Amino acid sequence: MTEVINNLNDTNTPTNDINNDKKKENSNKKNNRKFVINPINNYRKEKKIGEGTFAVVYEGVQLSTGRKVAIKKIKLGDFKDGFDMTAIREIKFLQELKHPNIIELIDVFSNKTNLNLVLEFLDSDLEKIIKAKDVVFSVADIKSWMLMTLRGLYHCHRSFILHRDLKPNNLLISSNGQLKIGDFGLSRDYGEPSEVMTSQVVTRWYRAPELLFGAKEYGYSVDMWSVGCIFAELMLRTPYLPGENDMEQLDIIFRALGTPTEETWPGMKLLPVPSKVEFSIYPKTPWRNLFTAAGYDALDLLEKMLTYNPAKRISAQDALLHPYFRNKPRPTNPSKLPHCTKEDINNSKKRKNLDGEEKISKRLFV
Amino acid sequence: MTANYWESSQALQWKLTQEELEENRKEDLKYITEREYWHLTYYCCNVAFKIGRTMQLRQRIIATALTYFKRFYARNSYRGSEPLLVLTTCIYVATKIEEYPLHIKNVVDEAKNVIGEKLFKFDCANVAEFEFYLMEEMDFYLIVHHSYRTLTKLMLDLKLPVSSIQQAWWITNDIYRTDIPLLYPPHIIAVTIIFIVGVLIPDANKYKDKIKEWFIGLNVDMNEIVELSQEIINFYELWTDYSDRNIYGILKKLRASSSSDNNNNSNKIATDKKK
Repeated sequence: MTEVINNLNDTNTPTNDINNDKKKENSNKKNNRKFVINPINNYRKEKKIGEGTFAVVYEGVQLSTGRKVAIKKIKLGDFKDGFDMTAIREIKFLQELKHPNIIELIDVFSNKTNLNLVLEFLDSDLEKIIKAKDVVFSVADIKSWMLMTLRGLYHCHRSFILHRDLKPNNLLISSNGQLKIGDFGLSRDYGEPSEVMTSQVVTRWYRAPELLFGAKEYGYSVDMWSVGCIFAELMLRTPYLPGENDMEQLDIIFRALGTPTEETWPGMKLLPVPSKVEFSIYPKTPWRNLFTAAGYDALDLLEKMLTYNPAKRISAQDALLHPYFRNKPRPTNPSKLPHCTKEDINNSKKRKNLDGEEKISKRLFV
Repeated sequence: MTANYWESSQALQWKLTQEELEENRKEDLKYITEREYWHLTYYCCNVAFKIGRTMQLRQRIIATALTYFKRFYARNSYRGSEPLLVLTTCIYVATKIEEYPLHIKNVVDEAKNVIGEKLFKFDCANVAEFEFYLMEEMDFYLIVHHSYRTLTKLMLDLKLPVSSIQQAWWITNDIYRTDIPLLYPPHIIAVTIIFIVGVLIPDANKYKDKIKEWFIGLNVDMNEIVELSQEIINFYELWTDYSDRNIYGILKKLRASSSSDNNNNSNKIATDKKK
C-alpha cells in the first residue's frame, strides 16, 4: 500500500507542469490566469488537524491527483505588516530545498486574505513515537532515524541554511516511515560567518550552550547540538536536558556533561553571559550508567555532537561518515520502523500549542 | 551563493532568455519607445538605490529587490501595473528575505520621500496587499544569488588593488539596472566584471600577465564572457544618455493610452487573439 502512495507521489509532477505552462503564456498574464487551473479549486480542505498561533493546519486532498496533503492556512488577521516572517521563511526555504528527508512544499495559493501552503501529508512525528510507551524500538531503529535526520540536515547545511529549531516534534514521519525535517519558520540562510544573528532560537531543551551564553555569531554547529539532544532522547525515551528556564538549562547541561573549562571550550569566556555569572563546577556524569544499551560507537558519536566547543563539534557531513552508521546492526529499513498509533495525538497537541506560544515571542527576532 | 547554483530555483525557474524578455516587452513598446522604456527602468532603479542609501540598507537587499522587480516585469507590463508600487513592494519583501525586517510604514514613507507624493500615491495597505501578488508572480521562488561574494573572493585571490575591487563593486551595482541578472549566472557576471576591471586598472600592464594566466586557468566559456562584457558596455552607453526629467511624461504616456483608449485596447486584445 505504501508503495502505491509512493507512485502516486512520483506521478505528481503535473502541478509543476502547470507552472511551466503558466510561465510560457506570459504575454498578458492577468487575462491568461483564468485559463490555468485555479489552485484554489485544486485542493479540498477536509478537516482541521492542528492550530498554532500563526497558522491552522487542515488535512486535504489535491483533486487533480487524489493525493492527500496538509494545508497550512496562514492567519493574516490584523497584521498590517504583510506576511509574517515565519511564513516567509518557510516558503523561501522549502521552495528551494528538495530532498527525501525534508518536507515537500507542493503549492502555495491564496484566497482573498489568507495564504495557504500545501505541504505533503505526514501523519506522525518523532515526538509522538518517543512518547508512545507501547512502542518498543531497537538500536537499529534509532540508527535509521538518526541517518535520515542527518541526511536532511546535511542537505540544509550544504545549501547554506541553518534550521535553528530541530526537535523531535519537527521531525515528521510519513506513512511509509520516511523521516522528514519540517518547520522552517526560524531558519536562516547563513553565508558570512561574521553575520550577527539572534541567540533566541531553538526550543530550549535542544539549544546549544553557545546560544544560551548569548552568542550572536554562530553556525551549523547549533543544529548539530540539537541532533545530539535528539539522539540521546531516542535512547533514553525522555528528554535528555529538560531545563525550566535558560539559566537552569545551562546548569542541567553542566551537570550532565561537566562544567566546561577554558581548556574544553576556548573562547567561552568571551561570550556575553559567562563574564557576569559564576557557575558551579560539576564533573561529567558517566554515560555508561545512563545509556546502558548503547554501543561504544553510538556514545562516541553522541559525544562528538554534544561537544562544548562549537568549532570542534562534529558537522553533519562528518557525522554521516562516522563508523556508527557503518557498524552493525544496519539501520532499519524506513518502511519497517515502528509507527505511532493515533491515541497519542491528543497528548502532543497540547504540546504543540505550548510551542506556538513560545514561537510568538521568537518571531520578533531576526 | 549556494554550493549548488545549478539546482537552485534561480537557475531552474528564473534564468530567462533575451527572447522571452523582448516578447513580454512588446506590450509596453506599443505606447512608448524602447529608449523611454529603459529610462523608466533606470528611474525605478535609481529610486531603489536612493531608498537603500537613505535607509542604510545593505547592497544585497537592493540587489534582491531589483531582481524581484525585473522578474515581475519579465511577465507583466509597465502599462498594466504601477511600477513604483511594485518597486516599493519589492524592497519591502527583499528586506524580509534578507533578514532585515523593517516596519512597512518606514519603507512606504521613505518611498514617498524619495519619489515625491506627486507620483507615489500609495499607502501601507496597498503595499501589504501587493506583497502577495508579487510573490505569486515569482511563483514564490524568493532566494536570489548575487555575484558580490564570488566577486570579492575572486578579486582577493587575484590580489588586485583595492581601488579596482571598489570599481568592480560599482559595476556589479550598475548591472542590476539591466536584465543581465536574469540572463546570466552570478559567477559568470563576477568573472566578466573582473575581465572589464582588468582593463581599467591604472597600471594595467603590471597585472596583465597575472590576469591573463588566471583566465587561462578558468573553466568558463570565454565567448559568453565577451558577449556579456559587450552588453555591459552597451548599457553604459545608454546610461550616459539618461535623465529623469522626462519620467512624468513617460508615465503619462503609458497611463493616458490605458484610460482613454479602452475601446482600442479591447479591440487590440481581440485582434491578438485572432492572430
